[in-house]
Amino acid sequence: MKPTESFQSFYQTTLISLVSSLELERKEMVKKIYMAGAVAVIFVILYGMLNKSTVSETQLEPNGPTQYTYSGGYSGAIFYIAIAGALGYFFWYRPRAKKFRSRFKNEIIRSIIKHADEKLEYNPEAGISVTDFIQSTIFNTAGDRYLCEDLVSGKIGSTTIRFSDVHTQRKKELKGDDGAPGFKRWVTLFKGIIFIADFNKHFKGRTMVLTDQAEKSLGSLGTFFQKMNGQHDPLVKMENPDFEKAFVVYASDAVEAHYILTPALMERMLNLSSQLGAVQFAFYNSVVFISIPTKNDLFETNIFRPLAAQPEMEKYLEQLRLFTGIVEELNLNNRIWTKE
Amino acid sequence: MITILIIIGIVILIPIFIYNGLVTSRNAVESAFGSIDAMLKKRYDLIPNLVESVKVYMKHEKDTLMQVTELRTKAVSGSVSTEEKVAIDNQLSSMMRKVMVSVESYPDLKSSEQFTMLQRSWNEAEEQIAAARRAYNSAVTQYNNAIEKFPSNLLAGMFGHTRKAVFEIQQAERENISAKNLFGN
Repeated sequence: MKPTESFQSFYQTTLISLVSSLELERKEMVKKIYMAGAVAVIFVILYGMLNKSTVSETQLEPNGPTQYTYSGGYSGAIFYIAIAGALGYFFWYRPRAKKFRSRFKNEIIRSIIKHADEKLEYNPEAGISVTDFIQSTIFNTAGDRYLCEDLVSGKIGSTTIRFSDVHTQRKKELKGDDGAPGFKRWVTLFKGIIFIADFNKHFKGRTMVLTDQAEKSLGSLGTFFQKMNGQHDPLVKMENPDFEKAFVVYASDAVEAHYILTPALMERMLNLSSQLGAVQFAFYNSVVFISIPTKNDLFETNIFRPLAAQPEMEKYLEQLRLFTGIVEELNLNNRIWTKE
Repeated sequence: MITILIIIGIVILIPIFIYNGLVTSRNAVESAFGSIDAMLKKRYDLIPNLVESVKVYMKHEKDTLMQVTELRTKAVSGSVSTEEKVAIDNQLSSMMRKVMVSVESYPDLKSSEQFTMLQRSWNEAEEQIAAARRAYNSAVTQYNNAIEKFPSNLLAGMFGHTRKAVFEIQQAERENISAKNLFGN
């Protein structure tokens, strides 16, 4: 990884031309959207003036209540604007916004990632596969909808890594009062980053390091339930009390779990969880699989936000470094064992 | 009537669960001890190869290497008690550590591919032994907790369960876990 100092020169020499060309396109689009908005407002006003609203009065019965009927005026205008707006959104805005996003990712984000590390590849449309997601066994389901994007892959030192945005959802049907199927709603199961790296030691079984809900809320009774679980491998207790407080470890082989989770690595994992939040780990098939819940997607922008500034661009680099830094944070490039 | 039967059932079942729990944790301790032995053996198996490959280069450490070989022979002979085994292992470990450090003064040896691989295997074996010991300690801690906590302590006394000692991990060995310094970076 290159130091941050050179980002300024990279921005001046390479990035600025890409950014300003895209910024021009963005401004043009935003201008058109504002113009369409202005035209709509003028249309509504003119329409309202030309079609004076009329109120007809009818007396239903002698000395009875009077019924007023409104027609014309603004209500008609709003109907036309709604149709024009919907057409404009689907046929004009959507394809353009998609193209803009794709250019932003393929040109700007890709060149920032290449600048950060030549050995990293970026594929905005790809992601961590659903097979990998399920194989980790951290999650017992991938839900009814599995979305992934922004795959970064390659090597950091001697460690092969890949990570991407992943979003899994479950379909929830809201039943009507009479029990008939009603609205469908998507409920998020997991949203965040899935990070997979080649682990620096050989091992055969499976070791899971999950956030410890039961012990935190129920104390030793929680441990009792964890021991009784039928879903995971046997519970393994580690000697680091802070680690035990934060995580629960299930492993197919207790000695192997201790071999993977050295005192040093446990400290590093605790640091990582204080940096990134409720992270969970699975060690299997010679890799470490890490799930990191996040609120926001990776490498996103929006057409109403100016692109040009350098600090803005540097934020994307920081996003990248937060995750590529995991290799350093967990010391995965330390290859002093038989695995090269 | 049914209530009484349920109560009697619970009164009988609880001690059975506790007893079985105690036996399970004692067996876990024994199996953890067995895995330390297995890991130690794995490391002993590396010694002849390591000694062979460094002997040619290390002129000044001939005596140390001889001692290492002798200790290894003694350790694998099978006629030593557990205490002796631990003592031999400690001696062997500290000697091998010295050998590994003195590798620094033999650049040819350091760059030899065969030796690098052996050194990596050695580190791996050391780390596996450390892991097995930690797993053993964890099993012992859980066993000791079980025989001291109420109500399982009542049964533990009756069936002759006594506290077991944990492995003291020596300071030198702790350093050994971060074997990075052997590579001089």
